[in-house]
Amino acid sequence: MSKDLTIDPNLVREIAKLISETDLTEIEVEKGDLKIRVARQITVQPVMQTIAAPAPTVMPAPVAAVAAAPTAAAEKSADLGAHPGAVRSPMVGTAYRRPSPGANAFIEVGSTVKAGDKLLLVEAMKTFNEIVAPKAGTVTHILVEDGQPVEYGEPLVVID
Amino acid sequence: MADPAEVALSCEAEDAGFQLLAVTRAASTNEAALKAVLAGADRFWLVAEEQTMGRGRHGRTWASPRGNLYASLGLANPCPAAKAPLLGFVAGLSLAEAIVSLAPALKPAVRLKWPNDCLIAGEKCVGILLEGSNGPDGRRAVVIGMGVNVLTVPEGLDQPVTALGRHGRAFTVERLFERLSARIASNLALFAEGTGFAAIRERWLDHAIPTGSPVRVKLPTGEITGAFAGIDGDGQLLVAREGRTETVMVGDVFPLAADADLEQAARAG
Repeated sequence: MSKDLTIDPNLVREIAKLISETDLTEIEVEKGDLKIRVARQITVQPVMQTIAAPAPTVMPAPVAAVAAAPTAAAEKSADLGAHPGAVRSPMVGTAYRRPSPGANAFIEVGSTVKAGDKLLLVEAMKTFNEIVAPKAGTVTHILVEDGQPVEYGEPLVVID
Repeated sequence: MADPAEVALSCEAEDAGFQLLAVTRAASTNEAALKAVLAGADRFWLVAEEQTMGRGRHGRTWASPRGNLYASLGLANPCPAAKAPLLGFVAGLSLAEAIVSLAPALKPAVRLKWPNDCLIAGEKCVGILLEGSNGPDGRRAVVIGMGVNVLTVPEGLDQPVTALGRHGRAFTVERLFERLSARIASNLALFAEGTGFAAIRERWLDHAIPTGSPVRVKLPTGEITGAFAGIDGDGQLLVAREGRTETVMVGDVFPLAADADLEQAARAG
């Protein structure tokens, strides 16, 4: 165990951020002999959520294969691949347009986005990657369907 | 119960520069850890006694009562983005090793299932959820979230589940986290930003269901049954059927073998 009594200023900043930006209500940090506890007043939340299965077997049925029948989206993606505002997939996986099956899509064509706004999720082997806007602008094209398999480097969205 | 003051990193993890925030309650440890990494943190563990809005895949709720481990590890730029899914194998392997180090007799019963599930005698004891994002500065954040049933088994699930506490007295949230933090520190070093995946894969297969075991795999397009044939160098599932080996990138695996030996080993633990 470390006997270091100084606390990393970065850690303090992180704690402040966590408290203000998230729903953490109490934090206790221990580093060496130093202990910090911060609590924040909260509004009481409903006690328990409905218990859900850890890995329910029902999956949204993704589109069979990208090559199955060239959709309008697939045709467009070829043309728009060279577009400077194209946001590409960082990995091979499955694209999702919404955070959960019943939820609204992150974006629609015409949506205005800021840098860092969520555009899509790409899932690969149960790892969910947020695809965020690299810059502010307007979404002019969405090149993937919900549940569509995507390749590495494939253009997903165009922001102008 | 996990008193936040009692949950601590292993010496190995401290030496490797990991930090821990142990909190009483969090909405979602994954969400908070992801934000912390985007704000500048790295090798940052967030452990909560309970979660009020624990997350599962596709926005599902992960029931998070007290008595279990809810831990999320935030990593900044741990590997190239395309290799981030391989961190799921690092997580599963580390958890299996942590469990076995606390109860060595369980070794034959603890089985990893592709891509990142851990079963004890065929029953699920953990949920692993990896999430990644990018900061505006180009920083890449990956969070490995783990919910481990230590004392409590959530009810009303559609598959067999268990808690570690049913398999041995050695299991407490504090001990499990201490071992887990040590194994992840070690396995992340071995992973070497993805270049060391071959070594992770070999160890993962050592803890996986035996090759040749019959499995049913639910694919987006239907279902196949075959024999588990390991995983390839990209972490994809290999299934032998009808004289050839198929590579599966997207699917859910259900082992078909009811192995009496496994159940016996689980009780012995």
